[in-house]
Amino acid sequence: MSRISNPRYVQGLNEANDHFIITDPGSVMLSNHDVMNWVQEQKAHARQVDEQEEREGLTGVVSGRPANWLHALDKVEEYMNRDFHPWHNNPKYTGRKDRNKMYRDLMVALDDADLELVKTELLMLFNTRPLTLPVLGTIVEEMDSRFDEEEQLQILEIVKNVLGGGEEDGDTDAVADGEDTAAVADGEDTAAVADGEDMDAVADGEGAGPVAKEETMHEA
Amino acid sequence: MYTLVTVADVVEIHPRDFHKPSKRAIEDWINTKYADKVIHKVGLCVGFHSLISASEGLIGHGTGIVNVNVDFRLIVFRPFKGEIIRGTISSSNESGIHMSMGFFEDIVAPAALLFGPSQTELEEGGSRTWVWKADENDFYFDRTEKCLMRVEQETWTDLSPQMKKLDEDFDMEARDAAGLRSCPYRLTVSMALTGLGPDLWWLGEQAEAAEEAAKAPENVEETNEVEMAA
Repeated sequence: MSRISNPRYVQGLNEANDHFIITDPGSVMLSNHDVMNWVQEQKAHARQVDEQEEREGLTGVVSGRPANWLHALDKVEEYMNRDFHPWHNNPKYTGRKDRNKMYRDLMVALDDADLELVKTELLMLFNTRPLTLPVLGTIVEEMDSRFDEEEQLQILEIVKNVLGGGEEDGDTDAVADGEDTAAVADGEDTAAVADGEDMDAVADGEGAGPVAKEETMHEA
Repeated sequence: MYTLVTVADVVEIHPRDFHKPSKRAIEDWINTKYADKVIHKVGLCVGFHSLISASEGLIGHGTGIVNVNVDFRLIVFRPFKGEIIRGTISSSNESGIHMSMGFFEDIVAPAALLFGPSQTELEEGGSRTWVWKADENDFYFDRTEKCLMRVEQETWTDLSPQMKKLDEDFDMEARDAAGLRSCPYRLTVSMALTGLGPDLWWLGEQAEAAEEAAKAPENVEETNEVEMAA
């Protein structure tokens, strides 16, 4: 029947008895970098487990991974590897802990300079890392009425300092702080996946917004 | 673009999977059901993220299948309205431009949400390309160009068999006004503000001309009207 052939909607094993419930339709926002790291960890962990099974002679006994899951991971990874993301060729992005620190640094720096941005704007700054005023204008609504040109340039400056800006193009103006380059990807990060450890959500500093506090992530 | 969604479902573990560690059996079942699929009005699921709780298994009569009540989280793709996201132009037709993000392809930028009313379309060698005619400059929406776009609207179509009684002559392959097949989740985006559209436009010598043209009154008014209607 043609109506069942559409593969994109969630299909239960037995349609008539499918009773899944959405208890939270999405109140926690994740950054692109969160998801990219998660995809990499998932694939690495799956590979590790599969290799282990092979060593123990269990290949084929424990059945393979769901094909649609592998496909989803591959496609998202492909998207995340494209060169327009801020982490591409960017030495400031070295690990999960650095990412949370960078997000917080961004928030604090903007706060210190009295530049008020909404949570969603902050997330977009983090995801797209604008380096020019036109792109900043797409992210910050009513930019010209909220900030004068000097303040707008200040935002760009802060973004460039915290998230890196154009080092990949050989821009020597970007200064790497000692603390930024010292951090190295934690070995424990990959092991944590096995315990279903929650990925760090975007930390909520103050005020209401779609981004939940980090504490709620550790309820499980 | 991504959120964590909490779901409660009943996982069924078949006897053939009893040798699997429980965690693995549950994860695999959840990923088989949800990965790369759209949940109506929730978003496109990427995969199982974490387990919150799992009950004891209850064995069903006859089949020996173990049912486990599970609460878990999924990573779901669902950009919010007004979010600026990146994609590439995949094709164009009379009604607008189709954008793609690789893992998600049902993105449409209709003609009304593209730059300026001075929008026209040129047929180049059989294929169509949208062109923004701004003052004396022509800005092309070329295929495979990397672009920034703004999410304006989400459209959900419930395609599950029991939810909708479709007419007998309903054709799943039929294309609607935008030239897309009926799909469970579609994003309508705009590229009509300074900074949106192909990256190339806003870098280099043409950037200034583009910025000037984008600020032209007719462009701004058009955008506002469309945004209010959305």
